[in-house]
Amino acid sequence: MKYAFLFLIAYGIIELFVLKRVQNKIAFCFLCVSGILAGAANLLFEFSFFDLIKGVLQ
Amino acid sequence: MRKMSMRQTLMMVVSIIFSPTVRLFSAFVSGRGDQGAWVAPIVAGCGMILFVLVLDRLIRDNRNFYQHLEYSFGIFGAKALAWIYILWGILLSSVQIRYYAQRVASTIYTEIDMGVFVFIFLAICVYVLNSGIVTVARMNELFLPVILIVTVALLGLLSAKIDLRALFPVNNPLSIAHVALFNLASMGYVTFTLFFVDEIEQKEKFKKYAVWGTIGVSLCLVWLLLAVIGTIGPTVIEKLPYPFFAVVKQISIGEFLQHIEAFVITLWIVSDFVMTCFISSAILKLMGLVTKKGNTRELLIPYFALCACLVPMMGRTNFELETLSEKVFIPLNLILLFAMPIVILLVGRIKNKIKKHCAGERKMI
Repeated sequence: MKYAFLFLIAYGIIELFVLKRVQNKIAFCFLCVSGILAGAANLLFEFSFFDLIKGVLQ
Repeated sequence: MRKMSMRQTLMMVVSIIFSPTVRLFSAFVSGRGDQGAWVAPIVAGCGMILFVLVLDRLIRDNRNFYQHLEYSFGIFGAKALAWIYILWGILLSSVQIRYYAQRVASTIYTEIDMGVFVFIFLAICVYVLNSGIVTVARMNELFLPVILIVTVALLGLLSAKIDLRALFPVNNPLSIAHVALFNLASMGYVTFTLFFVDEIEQKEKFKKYAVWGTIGVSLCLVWLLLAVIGTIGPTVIEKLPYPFFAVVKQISIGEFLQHIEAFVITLWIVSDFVMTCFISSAILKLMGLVTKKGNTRELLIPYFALCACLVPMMGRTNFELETLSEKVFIPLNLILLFAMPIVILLVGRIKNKIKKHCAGERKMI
C-alpha cells in the first residue's frame, strides 16, 4: 500500500502522455497528484491522521 | 443509460448499514450508552423518518445533489461545497477499506499483510464499478436477503442467552441521545441517494420504501443491541474490539453447528464491498458533475489507488481508527449527510418564495 504512489506515477504518465485518452484531466490529475503526495508523505514521515486529531484535541 | 429502481437503491443503503452497525454500535455505542443503549435506535429511527420527509422533498424536485447545491448556494458556493464532499468521500472510502482490511487481518488471516487484502478488494471494486453502480445494485439484490436471513438467525440464536438484568435500568437520556447520534451517522448514508437521482426510476416511491426501511433497520438494531448487551453486559463490551463477533463465537448447537462467526466475517466483507462501491460511485459522479465531464470511468483506477495510498494513514492501530471515526467521521457524517440537506431545502424554499414574490411584483407593475 505504501508503494501505491509509484503505480500512480506510472499509470498517470502512461494515460496522460502515452495513450492520451483521458477526457476529465482536472479530476484525473487531482486524484493522481493527491495519491502521489499522500503515498510519499506516508513513506517518508509515517504520517497518520490520528496524530493530527490528537494535536487538535490536546 | 441503464437505471436502477428506488427499491434497489435503498436496498443498497440497508446493506451498507450492516457493517458500521456491527462494528460501531455494539462497541462505542453500548460503551457510552450503558445498558440503556438499546433504546437509542428507536430515537434515531424517529429522527430518521423526519429526515426522510426532507429528502423526499429534495428528490421530488428532480435535481441531483450538485444541482441542488448550485440552486441554493450559487456556482462558486456549490463548487466549494462539492470539493469538500469529494475530499470527505475519499477519506470515508479509505477508512472503510482500512476497517475491512484490519478486520480480516486481525480475525482470520493474522499472519498475512493487510496490503494483500486491500489490493484484492480494490481490484474487485474497480472491475465491478467499470460496469456502473447499477451492476452493484443488482448484485446487492442477492446479497441483502442473505445478510438479513443470517443476521436474524444469529440474533434468534443469541436471544436465548439474553440476561434481562443486564438491560435495565434505562435512566440516562443524555447517553441515549449520544448513542442515537451514532446510529443516525450510519443511517445517514441514505443521503447518497440524492447523488444518483438521475440514475433512479420510481422516485415517487422513495418516501414509502425509506420509511419502511427505517422501521425495519431500527427494529433490527434494537434486537442486535439487546442481544449483545444482554449476552455479555455493557462493561465487557467496552473492552472488546469486535463485540458482536465475540458474542457470535459463543453460539454452538452441540457439535452440529459451530464456528458460525465465519458467516459474520463474510457478511461484513459483502457489506463493506457494497459500501465502498456506493460511496465511491457517488463521489466520482459528483466529481464528474463539478468538472462538467460525465464519464467518470477513467477515474476509477486513480481514485482507488489514492484510497490505497490513504489507507495506511488512517491510523496505526484499531484504537486510532476508532478514535478517528468517533471524533472526525461521525460528526462529519452528521453535518454533511443530515445538516446540509436540511440547509439546502431551507435555502431553496426561501429562494423560491423570493422568486415568486418578485414575479408577482413585476406583474403588478
